[in-house]
Amino acid sequence: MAVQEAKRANRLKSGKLVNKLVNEYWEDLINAKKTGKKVVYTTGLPIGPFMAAQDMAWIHGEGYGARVAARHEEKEPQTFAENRGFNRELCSYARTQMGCAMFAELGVPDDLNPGPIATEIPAPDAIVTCYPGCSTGPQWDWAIERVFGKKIPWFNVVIPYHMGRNGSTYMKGEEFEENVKYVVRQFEDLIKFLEVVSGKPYNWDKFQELMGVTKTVGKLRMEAMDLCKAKPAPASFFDWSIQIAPVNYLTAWPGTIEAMQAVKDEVQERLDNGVSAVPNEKYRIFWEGIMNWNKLGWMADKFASYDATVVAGRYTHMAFWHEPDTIDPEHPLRGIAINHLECQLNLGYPITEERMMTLSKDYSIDGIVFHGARTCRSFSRSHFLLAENLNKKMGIQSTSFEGDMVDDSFYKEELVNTRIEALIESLEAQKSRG
Amino acid sequence: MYQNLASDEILNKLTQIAADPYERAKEWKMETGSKLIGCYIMHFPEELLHAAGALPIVLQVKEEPITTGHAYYPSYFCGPTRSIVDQAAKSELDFLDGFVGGDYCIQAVGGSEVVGNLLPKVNNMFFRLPVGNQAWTQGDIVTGLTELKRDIERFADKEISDEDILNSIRIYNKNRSLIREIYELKSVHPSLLSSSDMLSIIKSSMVIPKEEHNEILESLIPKLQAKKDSIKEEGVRVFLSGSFCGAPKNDILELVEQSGAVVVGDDLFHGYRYISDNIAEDKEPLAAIAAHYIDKNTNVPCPTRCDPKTDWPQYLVDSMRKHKADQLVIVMTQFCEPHMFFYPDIKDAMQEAGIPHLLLEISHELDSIETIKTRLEAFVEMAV
Ligand code: SF4
Ligand code: SF4
Repeated sequence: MAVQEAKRANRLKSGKLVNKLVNEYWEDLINAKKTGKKVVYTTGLPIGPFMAAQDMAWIHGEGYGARVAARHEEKEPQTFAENRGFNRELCSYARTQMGCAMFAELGVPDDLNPGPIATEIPAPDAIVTCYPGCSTGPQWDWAIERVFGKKIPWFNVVIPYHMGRNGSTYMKGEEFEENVKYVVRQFEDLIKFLEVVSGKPYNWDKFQELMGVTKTVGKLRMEAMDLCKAKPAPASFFDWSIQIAPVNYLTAWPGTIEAMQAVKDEVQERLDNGVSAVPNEKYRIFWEGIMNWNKLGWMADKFASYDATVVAGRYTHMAFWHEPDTIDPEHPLRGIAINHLECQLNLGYPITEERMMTLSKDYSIDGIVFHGARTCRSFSRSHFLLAENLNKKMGIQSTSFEGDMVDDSFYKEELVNTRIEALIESLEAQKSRG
Repeated sequence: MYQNLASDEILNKLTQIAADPYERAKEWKMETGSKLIGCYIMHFPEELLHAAGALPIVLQVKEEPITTGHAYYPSYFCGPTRSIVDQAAKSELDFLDGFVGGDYCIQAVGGSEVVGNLLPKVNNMFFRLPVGNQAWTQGDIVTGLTELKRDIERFADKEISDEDILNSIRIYNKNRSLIREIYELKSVHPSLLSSSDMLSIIKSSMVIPKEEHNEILESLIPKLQAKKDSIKEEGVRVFLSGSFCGAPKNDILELVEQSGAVVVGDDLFHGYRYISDNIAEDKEPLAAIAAHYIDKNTNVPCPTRCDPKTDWPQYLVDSMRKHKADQLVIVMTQFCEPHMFFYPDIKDAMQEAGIPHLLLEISHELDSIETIKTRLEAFVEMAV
């Protein structure tokens, strides 16, 4: 029987550094109009440097949704969206951000009392979509374009799905090369679009400099995560979830190199001193699915109580400048395209399975937790296949539960408890059988 | 063979084909020894597959409950994608030689990944159809078509010439034109055939050789023409909208009519959306197909296409006026995200135009049929 003592996850201390940067970013964004900056709405993978080079501010839709939820202000915008007719089965990030955007455009209705963050979103001057592996992303941006009366210029970079046709595999093959060329060409057009929106020629020097920063931060993060292949792991998936911002909407933000360097140093120091993320690591878990932001701290402690470290995840390890070596800051478009094309959601099933098997081997995974985010169907689409095939091919056991990114009405705590406990019990039984 | 049959008998035949949608295709495969390719589900250039000598069929949702498929695709995905996964899991799609997935919706992408896994022996192709409508979109669609053509040629071991494609375009255009003739008849004489009949016409067109279907329609249309003036017209004129990928269930269509309405037009994929426009026959064929994707989406806008130059809500208002429709019934497939994103705009447009509408969110399991019946009756009664 799995014994659960109340133990706390030993979270990285340097993780806090990123909070300062996050606050600076939001401050800059909220005041963008006052400081004469144009505001671009984006969704999907990080494309901030494209705008930062032109001294424009950008809002990352998911980042905004997550921030509103982190301050427990998500209910009001979600209710506003639902009252407008947006079904609650739609992507909860989309519903949250659209609710906020509607507060900005349509005003706050009398019967709602939203928090300060939910109502401070500036209206967009342009919308840029760059969504890999999810049709919901562009549809969400189109809905935003309509909320603002179809007046906002919208550029959609189409990221083709990398299915794995004709023998193409991860970062290889005819399909991959065709896709890279296609995306690079669209980035060139995006740059022309941004010149028009910003009213000035593109600042390539600044863009190259920012992509140099992106590459460095990307490399530091991948190296730091790599150190967690050690047993016991010095940091966990939950630390890496917190460290997403510097490789997501904060990409290339001033101070991100120092913040990520500090994280890597702390991980190295822990490794040198035998300090682990979970006091008494017995099991190593892979988290499969998008993060459940409302439950991050709770989850981290929950697994620590079972002496289980969640060491890696598809969300953290297979996206967000995860291939930094492909970026040539002098000629950055190809590298950006590769990082976007080869991210977790955009890969066909056989490639996804192969990548997960490699990660499971590298991180000595005992079990997988499938978090089926109810309103992120892009993530959960392959869960059942992965559970079956990773068990068949590698003997890895798993459990699954439903939840969501920022709508906790889809989350049943009792069920989550039972499922995690059942997984730990079966891992325990497996270990005792030897 | 159909010439001697009455219109009702022909419609019955089509209903039989639609009820057992893969049977004729299987026979055809036995007869010809050629390849059968399933399309999963919307927006495929069937003409290209046909040009390779294969029979493309649009995979159909089965009304039976999902059972085996539950183990492969979560219950909070749309019914159409789950139904096809279920059919593959039950080995009901083993007769296919190939299938083509597409990127128009992430739920269809996920479903085709599962089907690819369940049917390892079936050739698994993919059609990349870039969304939007920018200066380069049409050219990018040509690239997607060229990639698919290459893959079909490898699979069918046959080079596809422009002449082959043009020939297929002509056959498919003819089918679209014939079905549009029936639509025109139904708009003026809505009681001439039921909406279930209309659905059978479209569904059967999706699953049998188009050449055969053209022959059937050529027999049917004159008979409908001859009958049209003898039909007594009454009922509230309703326009049906939505239901992407999966056809609306017959039960729902029957309920609409039993409530006292007649369906005068629709924008269903298993309906007018499928045949709204022809492909130009005087252009380079792949360019013509690519242009068709942009044009047909201007005619009947689709929310999966992300084309901000189109206006689906306004299209609905205009179509309803054209067909003199009194009310709009929206059939929304449960969990269909592209549709859900648009509902608020449709609602606003209808309110602004003073057109009453009813939203029916339909689960695959049809678990709220009694409520649907009551709501439909109350809605149609409003207009009487
Ligand atoms: S459903 Fe998931 S992948 Fe798609 S837009 Fe929403 S969060 Fe992104
Ligand atoms: S468009 Fe709607 S019905 Fe079609 S696959 Fe997507 S969610 Fe399902």
